[in-house]
Amino acid sequence: MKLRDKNALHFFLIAAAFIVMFTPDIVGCATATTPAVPLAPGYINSADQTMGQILSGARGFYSTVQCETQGLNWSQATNLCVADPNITTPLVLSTTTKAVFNDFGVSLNATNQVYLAYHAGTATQAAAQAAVTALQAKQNALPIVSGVTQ
Amino acid sequence: MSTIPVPAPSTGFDWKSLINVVELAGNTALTFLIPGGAAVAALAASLENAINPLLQSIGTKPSVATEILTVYATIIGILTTLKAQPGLPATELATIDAYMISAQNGTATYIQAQSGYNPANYTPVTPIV
Repeated sequence: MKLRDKNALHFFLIAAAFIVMFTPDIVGCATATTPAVPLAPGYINSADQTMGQILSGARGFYSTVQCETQGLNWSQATNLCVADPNITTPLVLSTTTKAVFNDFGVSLNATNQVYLAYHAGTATQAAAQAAVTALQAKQNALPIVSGVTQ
Repeated sequence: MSTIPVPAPSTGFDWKSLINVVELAGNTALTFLIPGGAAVAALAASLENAINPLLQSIGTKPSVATEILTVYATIIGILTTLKAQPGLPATELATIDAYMISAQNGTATYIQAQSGYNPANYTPVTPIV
């Protein structure tokens, strides 16, 4: 191999190493993409997962209030009311507050039906989203603060 | 190196539709607090300051989970603020604690559902008797 060929080879190797080292940054600047949020197992898409999580949270919230009226806590693992040393007295709901919570429970059941239909492919995403958003509004209007300050 | 604005990943869900929901939560709290007089004016202002960043953040952050969790955090924050008020009767403190546990369980259930779809999470609830 001639000296000029060796220099050319060295130049090529250095250039190749440079490209390998810095290509990710160069590509990253050019595309500026955000990694996709991984979909958890069982959900059909990200909207399905998000709505499923919202409804799961709402169910945990409602079920806990229900168990607390019995002086118990709600167990997510068993979906039952269980004893909890942190809860020593039952939560007392006024007749009005109880009615509002029960109305929320009815709405939660209805929303779950729409969501399950969407999850199964028999309802539109718009219908499911509208139901979930309405339920969220109802959840945030629950008389939690008024129940405390009354 | 990235100076190009990166759009938030689309989830197919209209998150901005939740803004009025959060406003409702804040307004509900303030409605019941403001009649208390001048003593609660500072409390009302602090609640407003706590809620406004939440409203401004919706639709601008890539993490949609953060937004939903903040709804529970708002409930917990309001209750925590209420709990800090002096002279609350023990019964009201117990009620506050009960609702805080409910919000915490709601948050935990929400997070748990991130690990995968569980049909048991959507079984019907029964009325509170």
